[in-house]
Amino acid sequence: MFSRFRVVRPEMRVLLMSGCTGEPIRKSVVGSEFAFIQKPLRPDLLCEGVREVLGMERETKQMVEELSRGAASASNGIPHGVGRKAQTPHLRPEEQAAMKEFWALYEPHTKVVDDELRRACEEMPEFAPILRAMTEEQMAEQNRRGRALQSGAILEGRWEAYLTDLRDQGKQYAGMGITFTAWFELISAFRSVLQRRVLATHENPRRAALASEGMNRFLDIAMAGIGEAYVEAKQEIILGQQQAIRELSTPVLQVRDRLLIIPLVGVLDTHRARQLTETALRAVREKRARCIVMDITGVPIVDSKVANHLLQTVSAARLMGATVIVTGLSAEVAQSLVALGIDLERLATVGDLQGGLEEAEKLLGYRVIQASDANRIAPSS
Amino acid sequence: MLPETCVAIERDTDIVTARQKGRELAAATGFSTTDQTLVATAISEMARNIVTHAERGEIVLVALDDSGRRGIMVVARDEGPGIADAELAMKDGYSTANSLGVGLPGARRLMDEFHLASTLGKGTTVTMKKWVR
Amino acid sequence: MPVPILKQGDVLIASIQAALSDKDLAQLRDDLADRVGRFRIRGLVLDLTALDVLDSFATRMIRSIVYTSKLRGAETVVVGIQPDVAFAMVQLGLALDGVATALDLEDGLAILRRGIEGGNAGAA
Repeated sequence: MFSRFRVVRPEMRVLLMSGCTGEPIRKSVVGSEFAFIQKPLRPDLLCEGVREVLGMERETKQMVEELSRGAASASNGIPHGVGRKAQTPHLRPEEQAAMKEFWALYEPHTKVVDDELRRACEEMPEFAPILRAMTEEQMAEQNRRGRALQSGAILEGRWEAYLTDLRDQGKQYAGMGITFTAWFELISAFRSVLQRRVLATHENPRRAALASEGMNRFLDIAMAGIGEAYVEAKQEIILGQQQAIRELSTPVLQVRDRLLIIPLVGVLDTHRARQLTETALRAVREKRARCIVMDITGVPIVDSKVANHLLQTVSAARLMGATVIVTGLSAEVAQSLVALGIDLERLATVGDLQGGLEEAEKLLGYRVIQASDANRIAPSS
Repeated sequence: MLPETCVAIERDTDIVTARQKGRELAAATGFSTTDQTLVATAISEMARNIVTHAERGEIVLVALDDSGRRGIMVVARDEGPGIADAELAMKDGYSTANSLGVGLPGARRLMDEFHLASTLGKGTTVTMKKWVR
Repeated sequence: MPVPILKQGDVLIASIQAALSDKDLAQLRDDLADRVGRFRIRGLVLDLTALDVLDSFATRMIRSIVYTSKLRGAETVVVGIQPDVAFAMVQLGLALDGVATALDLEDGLAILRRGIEGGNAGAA
């Protein structure tokens, strides 16, 4: 089951939980890439396990790094998953039977389970405020609706509707700032209540065991769905921020007739570099610029790729009769670029923005003198 | 505008025709003006290669739609002498017949996907694709 | 299709109108070479505003024109390369090193004037 999971979702972290201590479980778990927790569960151990396995923070940081390094690939490679439809899980007949058995045992006890779960939620700091804000009717309606979707999935195979709803909920709560861990705690509480109230007390241990399997499979699917929603929500946020940064990041400022300044801030990847070149060239035409001072003080990484991007911008601008002066390139970075074989000669660089501006003004034939001095200096020809 | 256009390449004026048709198709597909120019330039280079090395050939332009993702495919084929060393031909700076040596590797930089198939004595087919961003 | 060539004193202005074929470009090069020699031209402005594609051949021709003109005593300024075209050229790896460029006809003429009056043209 999990190897199939892996094929469909290679990036999904898996935490195996089982009450079984038998050989078959041990054999398949030992030496695999999955983490394993023995049941009965302790909430704190479970959370720890989840945190470790998911490494949510690490994942997000990695994602941010990847996305900022390869924004180009983000726009035509990495599947956004935004708006992607929930996929129906592959279920073997025995799994489906187990889930149906779970539902059969659970159904008569829904009220009891609802009440207990609610009490558990009220003690969770993240969910408590939400509960407080809901009326009795709203809560009852939400429970009813949730159960209708669940039974639709388990009994009639209508997984898409259930999982899509779950994802929407996940995204909503992610947007509200509810952590993924809180969800895990919630599902864990649900599992715990079900175990205590429904399964442990059933007179037929064989049926209870089968129902337990079904319950776990079902809840694992639910968790996967919510997890995905969280990852997607984060990706959306990151992409949105990326876009915002991009928009902020290539301002073109006209400081004098025929002189523009472009202060660059942020990572200059291939995608942004293209945008930069296009923006700069359009500005040359529209503002009739003969000189552009491009300040890269705010560009954190200046490697050979970035240098080449800058060189391209410089060459292209030159074809339009404009000179580009690059400022903000530190001496150390310049040295390392030269060592890499980059021909910095064509990249006219001056220390800082002020120096660059002065250079530009000279190039354009401006002479800047202070008003108080102007009276004392004879007018130039 | 048909989704597929074929332009026979036999003389230098056909190069202009091919790139103009290429620009038209690119525009109809939804490419930005900048990308239209890139496509037209790539077509120009490939068409010129045909005229210079093979005397005659054709450029086929196809509009692409890959489940919503739109693009353009340019196939430049001829039955000329073929390229002896494809790897060498794809290196920047390698040049034959007075060119600046930018033809193949240059065109590859302009497009998203690039495939070269050539057999000595039989001919050459270059397939290029570009996708709307 | 012949390219219109204007004469303004000792400066020639060639405005390339439409997509020229290779033969037309080669013809232009010969025409310019001829006139530069005959009329003792000191400056030449090549206006490429209307060109939507500048490929390797066209670039080679332009270099050729610049070189030939220089041999006959005239400095050349290439003007009017559009943003898209400049971008494509750079991606393709084409360069016009050693060729003076300007944004448009007005700037191009100003550069030539300065150069002619100053003794030599401002090459990039």
